[in-house]
Amino acid sequence: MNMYVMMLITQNTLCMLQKVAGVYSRYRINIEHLNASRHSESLSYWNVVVNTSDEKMELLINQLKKIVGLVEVKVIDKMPLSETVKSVINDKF
Amino acid sequence: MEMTGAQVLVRSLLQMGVDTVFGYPGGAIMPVYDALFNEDGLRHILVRHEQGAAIAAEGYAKALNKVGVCIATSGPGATNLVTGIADAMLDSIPIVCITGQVNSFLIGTDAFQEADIIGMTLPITKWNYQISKATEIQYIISKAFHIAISGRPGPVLIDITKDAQQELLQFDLSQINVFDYSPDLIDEKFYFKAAQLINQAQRPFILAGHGITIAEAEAELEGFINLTGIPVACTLLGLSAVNPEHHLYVGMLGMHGNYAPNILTNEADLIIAVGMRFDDRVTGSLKSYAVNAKVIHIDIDRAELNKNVKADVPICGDAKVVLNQLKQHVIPRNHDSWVKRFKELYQIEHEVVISNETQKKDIGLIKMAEVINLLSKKTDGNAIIVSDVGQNQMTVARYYDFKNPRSHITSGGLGTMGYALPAGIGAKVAKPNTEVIVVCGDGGIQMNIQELAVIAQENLNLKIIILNNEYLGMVRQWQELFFDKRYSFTELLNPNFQKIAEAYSIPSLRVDDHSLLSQGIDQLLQAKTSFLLEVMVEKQGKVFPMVEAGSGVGDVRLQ
Repeated sequence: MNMYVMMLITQNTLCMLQKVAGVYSRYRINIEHLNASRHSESLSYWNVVVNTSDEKMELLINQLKKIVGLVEVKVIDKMPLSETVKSVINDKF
Repeated sequence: MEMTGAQVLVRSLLQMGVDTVFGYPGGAIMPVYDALFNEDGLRHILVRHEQGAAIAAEGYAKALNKVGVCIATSGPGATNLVTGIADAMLDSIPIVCITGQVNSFLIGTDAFQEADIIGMTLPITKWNYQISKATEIQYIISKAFHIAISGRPGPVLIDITKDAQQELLQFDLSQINVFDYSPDLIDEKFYFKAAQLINQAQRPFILAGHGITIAEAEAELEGFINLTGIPVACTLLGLSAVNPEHHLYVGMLGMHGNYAPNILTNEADLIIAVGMRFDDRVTGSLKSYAVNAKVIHIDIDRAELNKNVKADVPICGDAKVVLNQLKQHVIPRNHDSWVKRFKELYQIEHEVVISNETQKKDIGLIKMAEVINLLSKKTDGNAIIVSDVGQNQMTVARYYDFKNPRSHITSGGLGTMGYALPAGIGAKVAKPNTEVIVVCGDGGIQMNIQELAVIAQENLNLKIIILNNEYLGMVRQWQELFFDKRYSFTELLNPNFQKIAEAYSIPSLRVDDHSLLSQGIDQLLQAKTSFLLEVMVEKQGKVFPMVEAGSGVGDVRLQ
């Protein structure tokens, strides 16, 4: 289990939040932190923080890439979770 | 020229090469229906339920390898499409669904027949979009068609508000559109690695999926196996990609597939999966799947690579292109003793299962396999068979020898009961000069039985076989094997299907004896109009071999 900081660039259109969030929820990955802002006239820049495993992260990114209107997705930071955080996560489910 | 949004929509569809649409009118789509009236270039097939429209569009798309189009109104019209859309998503069928929506100023007010169909179909479409201005229509429609058919095909839904349909605008047909969507590219660096594995393998095995027929790569696949001498098996949706008479064709994979391809998956030292996605119905338990094999996985959807089965060599690309490229790197070989293993195991399956199921007997009830086997012989494997879901589907897949590409149409991923009749209508509309035969059970036919009216209204020469065991056969089989014979709500008290056929002006025949079966099928095939043949089959019939849910492919049971 790791904490990942992700960067996404998407088109700034209706429903983009739902399309992106839908992929996270389908893989049962909870979004811990989310920040979306205007990147340019037509693009949005997102920061997303999630706790999950490497395998799930690969599946998630592959599925995110299939969204029409998603321009880029990258993991920009990854760190192992402490035992305390892990136990809190386990409680949540 | 000044036009309404609805007229622009119809022009745009024609511009995309559409000649047939399946649909059902209603309040919020009326401007479009008005534009369709007297439109000679576009044939509109009126279904009797929107689910029928979506599934008929799928059948049409599958038969022609072309985008199918369906139209429905807002609210209930749109929600009724949902099952067909989800089905198209799982089976990678290119369809474009056009739904009406309430006026844009009414959205969010719980207006009459308002439903958030964009929100509802987000997870089951490749792309969806709501048009609220007429100026968007032409561009969005061309984008919708491009997305539906390119890369891994799939469903697209376009929701158009009523005011956008009515808005007037200047329309210029010569407008050129630019797309901003392009699917993944091919990883060329893996060819060499893949070819090396293929050239070294002692027991290689090709698994051919739906991707072959989507890419129209049947000839490339045949060329590839002829060169490399590798045995090939098909998935359920891959059937008809390889001629069953080919000496390297070894049968169908999966839960009710053939014995040899399942068992030998675990003996193979190299699996080459082309255009298939390692569905759980193919793999069984992943822990005991392909235990001795390295895996080359070729798929156009990058998200499928390493999803279920880890690939040693993942290749993302179109099956036709990849097979052509790979062919240049592999050496001619033969694997006679390995292929012989498949034939030996087939003999076992033939003795224990196939001969018993297909041979005509004088006593007892007719078996499903007997009907399909006879149908296969009488049509020489040249008909398009549209099957439903359950025992009838598995029996068709096992016992019909599909000789032409795209002649097997069924709901694979979603397993949609009620699929066969509307999909058969779609296929018959697409290929009016080919024999199209719908094979379904007594349960499935009743899920979209209203579509019989389309056959009468459109004067379609569609043949229907109902394999009637008065049970939901596949569920009954599971209840017998795994639920202690507790047949919970699977017995059906059916209507008189012949009277129903008669009500829709469809000639019919009921067969309940071996001696009349051959004659009955002849009558079905010789009919110049549509025809419904009801065959009473064994109630206790079970489809074997079977890989039980949760067990590995190596544990496939013959009885």
